[in-house]
Amino acid sequence: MIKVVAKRLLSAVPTLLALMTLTFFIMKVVPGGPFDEEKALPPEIKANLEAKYHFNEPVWKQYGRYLGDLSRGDFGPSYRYLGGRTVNDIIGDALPVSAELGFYAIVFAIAVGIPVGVLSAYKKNSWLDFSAMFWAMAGVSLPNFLVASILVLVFSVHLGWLPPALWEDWRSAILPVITLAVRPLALIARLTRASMLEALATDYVRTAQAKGLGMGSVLFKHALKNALVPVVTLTGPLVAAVITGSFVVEFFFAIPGLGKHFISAVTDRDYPLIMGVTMVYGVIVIAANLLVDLTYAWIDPRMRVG
Amino acid sequence: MLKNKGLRRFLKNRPAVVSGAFLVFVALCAVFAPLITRHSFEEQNIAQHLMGPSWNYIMGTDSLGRDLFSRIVYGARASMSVGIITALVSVFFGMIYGAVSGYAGGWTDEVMMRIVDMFYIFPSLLFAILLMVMIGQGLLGIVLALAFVGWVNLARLVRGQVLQVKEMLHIEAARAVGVSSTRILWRHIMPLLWGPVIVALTFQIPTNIMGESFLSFIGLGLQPPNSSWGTLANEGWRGMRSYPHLIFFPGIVLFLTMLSFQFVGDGLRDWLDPKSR
Repeated sequence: MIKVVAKRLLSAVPTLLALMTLTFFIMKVVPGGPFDEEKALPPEIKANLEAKYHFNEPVWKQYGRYLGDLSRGDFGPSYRYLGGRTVNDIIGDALPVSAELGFYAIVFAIAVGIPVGVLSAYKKNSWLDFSAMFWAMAGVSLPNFLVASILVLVFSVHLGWLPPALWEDWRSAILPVITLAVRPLALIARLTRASMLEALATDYVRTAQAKGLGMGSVLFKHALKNALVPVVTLTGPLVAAVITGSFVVEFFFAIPGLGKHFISAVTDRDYPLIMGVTMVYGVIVIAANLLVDLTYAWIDPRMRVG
Repeated sequence: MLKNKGLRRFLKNRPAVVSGAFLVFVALCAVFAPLITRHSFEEQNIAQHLMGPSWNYIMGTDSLGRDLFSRIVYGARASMSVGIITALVSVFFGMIYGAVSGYAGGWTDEVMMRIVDMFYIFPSLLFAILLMVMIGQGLLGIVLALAFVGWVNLARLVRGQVLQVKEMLHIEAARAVGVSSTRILWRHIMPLLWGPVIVALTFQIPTNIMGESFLSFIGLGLQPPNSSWGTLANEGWRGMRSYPHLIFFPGIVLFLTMLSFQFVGDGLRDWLDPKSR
């Protein structure tokens, strides 16, 4: 087991390095620098700025410098807030917000999606199953901004129960969390249903039923336990869905998270911030996939052969 | 009656047929946009701005007094063509990549799949945004970025299929009589893969339409006066509280289109690729 963990951890290093190199060179071939503004700067000032941020050095040297800084956990200055906030400051403020948002969304999606999937499989082909699966299909097709605007119109504008934007107390978190959870919820419900149907058709479930166990015990203790194994593989796509979803959700609800900063960094061409946020996303995605592999190895001993 | 069993099964699948009809209708609207709209998509009528739906403007007007219905119909042109073109490009490249990787096997396959794995675990829209930083925003940026990120799924799918097919007897026979690898790949392997590839294409198109509207909604996509469903939603959401029609109509058209593609895709899968069910 330790060997598997070590091997997976090591294999994450080249992936991260590749991502870093890729983003670095994407940013380097971009036409126009961060100091090309509508009002041209005097050449001396521009030269000084470029010297300060080492733009006058050859690319390979800049690359080496960036790698060195990164290995010390330093993402560099943000061009947008020159002299003020560094990329580290921004990420330090924004990451907890996005992490909280994403965490609640995933918890909500699991808490609702799994029971819905189990019930749909249990009551296969009933109206409950059909309507649940229709909504699961709709959930994958619904644009985030449509969900968000319907929720805001109903619960903020019409009923006045919940704030329509910002990130302050728990009440302001409800609408963004639900919006972000729609797609993961639909994915979880669909997959849980499919794998529950398979589990319910197995011999050990029939045995459990035959020996007179209650339906709850059969469903949740015997069938669901095995049916959840394939659902674990969804973690990767879920994290991806939550990251991309957070771009729209944070933009829509004006939440000061990583996604909102990423979008404005792209519009402002704030390269160090773009690279920093990309690296954070990279680490999150790689960690999530690592976790899936390890969970799998833990659940299913056959996977431990590394 | 119809001889083709799969086609008959597809026609019996009512959601798929209705969805297919809806998609054809949307496509026809996009093609014949000038004929079915009463107002040009850029004609401004300030006196009539921000009106709700009425006889003259069936979906109302936007803040500049432009007909929202026209803008959605013309937006369908952008959304649909971006979706279809990018899906075709990425399916084409993914297919070639996967076929070469699967057929070559060994070291080549190992390296090529490692690269795919790396792309696979990252959210593709994150990559698309990074690419748009490099290529630039707007139509060209969107098309190139979406085309570039969509090939990964196809590469995996086709590789898996090629690995199975390549052990078949007729391939072995072809190899034994000295047919070249390229010819085997194109003439003997690829024809067997059309079913799964077409199914994958029907799922890739909505993914890319959604990708386009996602990027346009957050302000990185098409620039005005061009309109797509995403840009319309972007223009609409700020005034949403007072004028909800501005975000609802584009959003609902987009939603129905996505849903239809899902149903049609499921139907096509039962027809063309029944094994995967």
